Amino acid sequence: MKVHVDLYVNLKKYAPAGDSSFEIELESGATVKSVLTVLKIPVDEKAILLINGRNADESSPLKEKDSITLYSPISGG
Amino acid sequence: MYGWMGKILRVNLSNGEINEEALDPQVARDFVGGRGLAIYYMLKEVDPNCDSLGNENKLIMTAGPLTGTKAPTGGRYMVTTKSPLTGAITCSNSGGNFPAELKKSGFDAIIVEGRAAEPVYLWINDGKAELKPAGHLWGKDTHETDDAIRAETDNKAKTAVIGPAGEKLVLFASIMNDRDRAAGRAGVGAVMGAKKLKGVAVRGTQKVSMANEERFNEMNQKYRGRFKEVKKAGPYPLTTHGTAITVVATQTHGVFPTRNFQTGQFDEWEAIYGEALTEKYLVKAKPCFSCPIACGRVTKVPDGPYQGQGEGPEYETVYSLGSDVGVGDLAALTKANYLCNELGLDTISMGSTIACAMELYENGHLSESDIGFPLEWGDGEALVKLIRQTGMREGFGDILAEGSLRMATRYGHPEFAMVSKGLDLPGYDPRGTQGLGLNYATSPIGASHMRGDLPYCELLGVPVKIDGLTWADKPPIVVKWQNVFSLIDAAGLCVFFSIRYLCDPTLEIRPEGIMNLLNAATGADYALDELEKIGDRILNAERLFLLRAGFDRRQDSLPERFTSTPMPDGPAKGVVCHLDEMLEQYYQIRGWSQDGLPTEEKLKDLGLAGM
Repeated sequence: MKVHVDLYVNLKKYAPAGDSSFEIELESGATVKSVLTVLKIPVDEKAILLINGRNADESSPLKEKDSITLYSPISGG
Repeated sequence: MYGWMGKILRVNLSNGEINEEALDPQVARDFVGGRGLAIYYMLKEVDPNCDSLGNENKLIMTAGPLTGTKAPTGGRYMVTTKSPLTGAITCSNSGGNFPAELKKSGFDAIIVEGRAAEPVYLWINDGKAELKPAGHLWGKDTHETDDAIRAETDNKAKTAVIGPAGEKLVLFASIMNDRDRAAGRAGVGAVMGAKKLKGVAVRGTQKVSMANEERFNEMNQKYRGRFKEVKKAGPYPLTTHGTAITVVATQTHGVFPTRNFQTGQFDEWEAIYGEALTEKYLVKAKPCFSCPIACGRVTKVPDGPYQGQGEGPEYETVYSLGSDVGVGDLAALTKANYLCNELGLDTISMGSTIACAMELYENGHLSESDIGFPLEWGDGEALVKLIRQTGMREGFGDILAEGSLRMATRYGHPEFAMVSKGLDLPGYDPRGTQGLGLNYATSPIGASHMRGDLPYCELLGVPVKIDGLTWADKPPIVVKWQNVFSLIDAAGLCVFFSIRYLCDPTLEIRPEGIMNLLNAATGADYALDELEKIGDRILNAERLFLLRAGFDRRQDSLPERFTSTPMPDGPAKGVVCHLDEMLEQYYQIRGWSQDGLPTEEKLKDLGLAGM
């Protein structure tokens, strides 16, 4: 299945082809963890994970056309 | 005393008397300083029913025991008074270098009373205070005033001043210190203007004595070390891009207030967020006193119609003068920010009031003839023009100067004012940040994000990430966070460092680091429970002032837009803020009646009975 990924702030460096907004192909049954693995994002990055703008965690299942947002913790506003 | 300077400066502007008073050690222990010390004096000395702009109201500037020390971010102070915008208590926090200089000049607090017959400014030079004429400064903007006062006193002096907006009693006028740092919220600058006090200048060379310097240095290194570790792993977003990087979180969660909170996503967000600012206009990052983060932005718009230089914008301003008014032109937004700083206006309320006017205009309740020109969403030129008019109370600006609620009421539609207790909402839609919605409604000063900043956990992932859309789990978190934030404001620290590095990394945010620094500085030997109780005490003391000023449960509210109208689109689509359900549990946890009144038992437990 195809999912859309947006990487922000310090996680942009994990974009496979430079563009931080892209699509990736995953096998069915994939989770957010699969995205982290494919993009080689280390566990200690402590990324904020959203699916379609909603809170998610590494075990959250993905479906076709989901939009995944990943960014590093920001303290301040 | 250690940590505390042990002295309060009392200035009566009506008769020109200036007196020093000793700080009562028990009061210092029980209320710590900053926000705590200020509410102690407000409750004791100010009639909550007084006219905010009258002689009876007082303006209290307070540092904390860690202000002016080497503690990380130990450079904050509080300005507390009865607000002319809301009629509630207000306390507005600021950093820069003025607060530390105030402390080093020998004082923990300044209490300003009465009203001067002619404009004056207060000059404090290493413990000696005098009032100096300011007739020649009246009408000058904040930067010109800072320049002139330093030229007349000491070039190394630090100032906190008002601009034309404060003089002209714009109800959301700010007090600007170190030129571009703002005690912005709820009209503290208008109270200063009503008192004919143009500014306060301080110069100090005294040292804040430490009870246990060795231990203090050890703790200081420990907590700075935590920050360094995180920074080592990669660029620190707040340092690299300033607080405007927060747009990433609000936009992706669909809570970035857009067009007066009509929706939570702004199509042009990438043109105005932190990375765009860094790329286009950033000159350098600027820290406040003793701050390792340096989220302040020195910026320059090099050319074009919005050419200028100054500081900002930070996140709240990117929302209020950007998405909330539909402006995606970063140059216009930045120029609008510079003008607010120079005129002495709170950027949040300024933008929110213009956004309210834009919605009134969109719906035909305000016309071109009322304003003098069309007022469409996204019109950067109109934004800049209206800010100038507001600061000078000219044209339609004279109506904007009264704030969004009075203006919307005047035109028959108060529902378009995005306020709680009359104070404009910061940049997070409470439909997608339910805990923050409860916090807005129960914050003693009205809608403030700095009285228990739930976006940290609901959006930013600090100390952990929780779901902003759930509400049943939020009341206990809000109570804890409001209490700890009160303590941070009392100690003289900045929330940005304290929450992440001085509290335990769970939702409990137990303030062990603050305790260790406070104890080493003051020798007070506070226990953790005692400090958490002090936070509770401050919050309840503020609640008492509020209730006596005529507020009750009915004002623990949010505009119907958030409680009745579901978010129309984006990730929070279909959601309303479940305020009433959360309030019931919140009151129970606080030990308040369902009418929102602290019980006698609760007051007794906090040592507030009889206050």
